[in-house]
Amino acid sequence: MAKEIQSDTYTPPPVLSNSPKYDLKKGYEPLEGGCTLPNLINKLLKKPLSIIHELEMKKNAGKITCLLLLIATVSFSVFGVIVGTFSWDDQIWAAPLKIVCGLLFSGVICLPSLYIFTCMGGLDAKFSTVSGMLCALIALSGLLLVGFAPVVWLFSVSSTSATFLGFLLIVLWLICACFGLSLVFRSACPGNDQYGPLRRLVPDLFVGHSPNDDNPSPHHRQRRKTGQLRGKEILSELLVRASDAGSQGG
Amino acid sequence: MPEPGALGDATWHGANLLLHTSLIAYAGILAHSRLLHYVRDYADSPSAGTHTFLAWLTGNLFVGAQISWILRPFFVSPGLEVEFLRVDPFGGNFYEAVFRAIRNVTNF
Repeated sequence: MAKEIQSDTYTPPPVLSNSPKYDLKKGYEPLEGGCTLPNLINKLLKKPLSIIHELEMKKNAGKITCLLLLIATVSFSVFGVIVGTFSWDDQIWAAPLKIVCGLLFSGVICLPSLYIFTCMGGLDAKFSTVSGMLCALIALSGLLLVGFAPVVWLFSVSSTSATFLGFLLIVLWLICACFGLSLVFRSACPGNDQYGPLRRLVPDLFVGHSPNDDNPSPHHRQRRKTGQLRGKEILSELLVRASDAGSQGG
Repeated sequence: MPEPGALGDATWHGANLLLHTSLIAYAGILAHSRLLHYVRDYADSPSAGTHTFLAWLTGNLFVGAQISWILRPFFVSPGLEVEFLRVDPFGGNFYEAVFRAIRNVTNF
């Protein structure tokens, strides 16, 4: 009997220390240094979340979006020229043109669905914020691809195999896209109350559950206080709730 | 060691080439790993330092191999002259050459 009473008593798990390893909100602060092109490039590489903060605060949102588009266009043009050096001839101008136009078109056709999914996730994100975030994603990917451009050039002028170069380009592109997407994920970081509405995007879309539910469990509430809720914990929390619901239903 | 043109010379050359490439790569990784703890100390967090180090090591190995290949020959191929730089230094890449060497060794 004593054991049963003991098992019903909730014992909160030990609270983890505030390790900087999980400090995903780092950099989410006002944009310092003004809204200039060099500063935006600098912040995009060092503190991309400060750009998201600026977009959410509606400070120079239009100008920032235009500059991000400019960065993306120039970066992908440079990368396209480097890619075109594999074949030369018409590919020198055709490759950058196709890359830039294709990417911008992809961004335009994906933007409405991104915004709709954001809204369906119960978020209060503005269209301008979501479009700015998408531009930041594309611009960051472009900047990283420009960083890889010397490597691509080296293999472009020396490789005879189009298959090898194609594979290399796809891998590099995927790496850069992952870094760009990580910006979106960090903007939508769960367990971070300072992130504004975008913080709920990731769990809502991919787990179907938000850490900021109206009815958090004691364990969840305890972890939320420390701001350290992670993916595995969200999953375990879901499993606990499912088993609770099952036992209550039974 | 078979003479150039003798039976099995391509297999022997391919195996030696792969052995030397592996040893040089191992030496490079070992030399780089001496810097790992400095990077981990310098970074915001040890895991970020490790990730940065791995990205750096991967990039150096990937590009360093190709630059070495452009500056060939270090390891002379059967039937080719010993020379400072090849006439066509940009004709192909390291990974294609490794693939060919593996094919020679395995006869695949």
